[in-house]
Amino acid sequence: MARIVLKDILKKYGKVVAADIPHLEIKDGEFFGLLGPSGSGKTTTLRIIAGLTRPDKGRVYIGDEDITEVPPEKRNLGMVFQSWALFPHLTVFENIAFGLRLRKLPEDEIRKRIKWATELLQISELLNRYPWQLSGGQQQRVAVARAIVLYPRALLFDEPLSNLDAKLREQVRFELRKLQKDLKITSVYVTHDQTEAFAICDRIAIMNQGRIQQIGTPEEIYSKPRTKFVAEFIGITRFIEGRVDEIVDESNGLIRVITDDGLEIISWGDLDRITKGSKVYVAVRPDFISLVSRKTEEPNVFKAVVEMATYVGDVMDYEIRIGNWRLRFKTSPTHKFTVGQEIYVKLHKEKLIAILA
Amino acid sequence: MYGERRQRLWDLLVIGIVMVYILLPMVVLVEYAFAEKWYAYQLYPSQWGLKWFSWVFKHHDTRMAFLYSYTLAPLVMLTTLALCIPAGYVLGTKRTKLSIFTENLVNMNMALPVIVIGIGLLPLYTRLGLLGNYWALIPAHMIGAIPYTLRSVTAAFMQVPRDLEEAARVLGATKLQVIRKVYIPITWRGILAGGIFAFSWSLNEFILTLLLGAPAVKTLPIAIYEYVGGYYLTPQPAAALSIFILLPSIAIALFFEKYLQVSLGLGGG
Repeated sequence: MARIVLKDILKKYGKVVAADIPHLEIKDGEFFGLLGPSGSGKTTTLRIIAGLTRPDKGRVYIGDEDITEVPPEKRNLGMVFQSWALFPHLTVFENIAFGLRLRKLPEDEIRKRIKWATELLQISELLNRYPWQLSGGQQQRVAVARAIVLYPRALLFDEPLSNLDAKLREQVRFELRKLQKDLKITSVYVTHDQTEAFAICDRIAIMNQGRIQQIGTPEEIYSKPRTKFVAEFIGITRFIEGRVDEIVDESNGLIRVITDDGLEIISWGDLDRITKGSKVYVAVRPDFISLVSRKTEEPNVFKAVVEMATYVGDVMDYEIRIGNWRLRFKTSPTHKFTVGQEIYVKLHKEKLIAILA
Repeated sequence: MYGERRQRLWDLLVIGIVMVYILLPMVVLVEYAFAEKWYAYQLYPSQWGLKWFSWVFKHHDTRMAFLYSYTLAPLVMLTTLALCIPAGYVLGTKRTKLSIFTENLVNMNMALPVIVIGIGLLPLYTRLGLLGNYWALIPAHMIGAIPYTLRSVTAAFMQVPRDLEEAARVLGATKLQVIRKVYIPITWRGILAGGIFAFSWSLNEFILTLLLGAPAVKTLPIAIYEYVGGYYLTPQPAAALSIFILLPSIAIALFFEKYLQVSLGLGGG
């Protein structure tokens, strides 16, 4: 168990940058997420840690050891693949024993460890089955058991839940997090699913085009995205473009943004990066908007037109238009508006996020 | 009703022609091999027996042909597999341009007339002093066997998901251990099929053996040919000998169908 450090990592496929990471430190015992769309470099980064992909440049450390030149079989890591990669010719027992046998451990030690891992994952009764006789959820557990019996220095997960159905996925998420916290193994989790990363990980790196856009806790990533990409990738986000007219409240980071069509919006903004006159995108998410009964003189209250209304069971999902800007807005199903109806909404100034364009 | 009956007759006719085509030579072969008395006016022999079998075994040349054929075939099988397992691993798991080019080259070899290869090898063997050398027939037989074996083994390796190799590596397996503990146990059917291709290729090989081995080393096909291709025609001992090539072939075909569950033609894993 140890921290993982990547330094000056560069991996290119032809001219495409698959991973370009000047510095990344994953702390000891941390559950770390690599989140991004497909092709963002998250899997490449994981494979570089595993030793399955060789970086063109840079070093990889586990603890204080430089493992850049160490082949995967000597890194002592546990990895759970998207397909789970169970050996079809071996029983569950022999699948889990695979790494232990390669290490030439005595038979009673192998049995002891397998008993421990299978009880932990509640798969003790499956030991004599073959992978094709297991459900997806069971295969996933066997894959995790196979990784943890080696007492690895770190666990690597490559979208291990994406082949499970939605209900099961949700349940397994919490189990994985609990397991990781109990074992205290440094873990790296690759996913394209924001909810999954948020539910499981202590910290997350958002990746795009081979580069890390932002690292932070789920709360930080959600409430303080630093780039338009991060804001767009997390949650349902729409943007209002404008220019900073005035810093309204320096201590709370509030600014006034004026759009081309004359809207005045008070928003939060990172004053270390934003100054008067900056061109910004104001990120608006459904939960930044609330309904008001009438137009008032308060700032950030606007008249909006309902453009689209969708009933999705527990909520009503609306697309509304303020001036030239289309936003998404959700209410409880008790508030039903029809398309074309005019309503009044308020944008919460401390939730809105102005991002430097 | 009438049309349906006519259709059935038509089906039977077509199938019948195919059956006759396949079975007629074998029927004649078996008749000749086991016939002790068979007059020209009779449709089938009046007395059956093993006369011709004991007759052929009296000849030293024939006994040696047996020895040569049945030792060469397993040796060719083993050496071909020893080459094709690592080669099939490379071609099957790393689909680079070079892999695909090599595959095409090897496949082209399948369509090449063996006599052409033989003519290419003849001066080479002469210069190296390998003519009539039993051991030198092994690489010669391999040339013809490799395309079939390699195809079968490559196809088998290609069907193994890449993840399995990577999972094994992370679990602590070296590249060699991955081949031994993951690829071979999963692809043994395709490997065995490939081995059997090599075995039967060697058993049936005629032209290269004739050019490079004979007269010092004569295998069964050459011994058979000499009974019918020399100055006198003796189909009976030739037929008796042919049984020893036919039987393994039938056994192999049945084995494929029953246990490998792959058709001989497909040869996949």
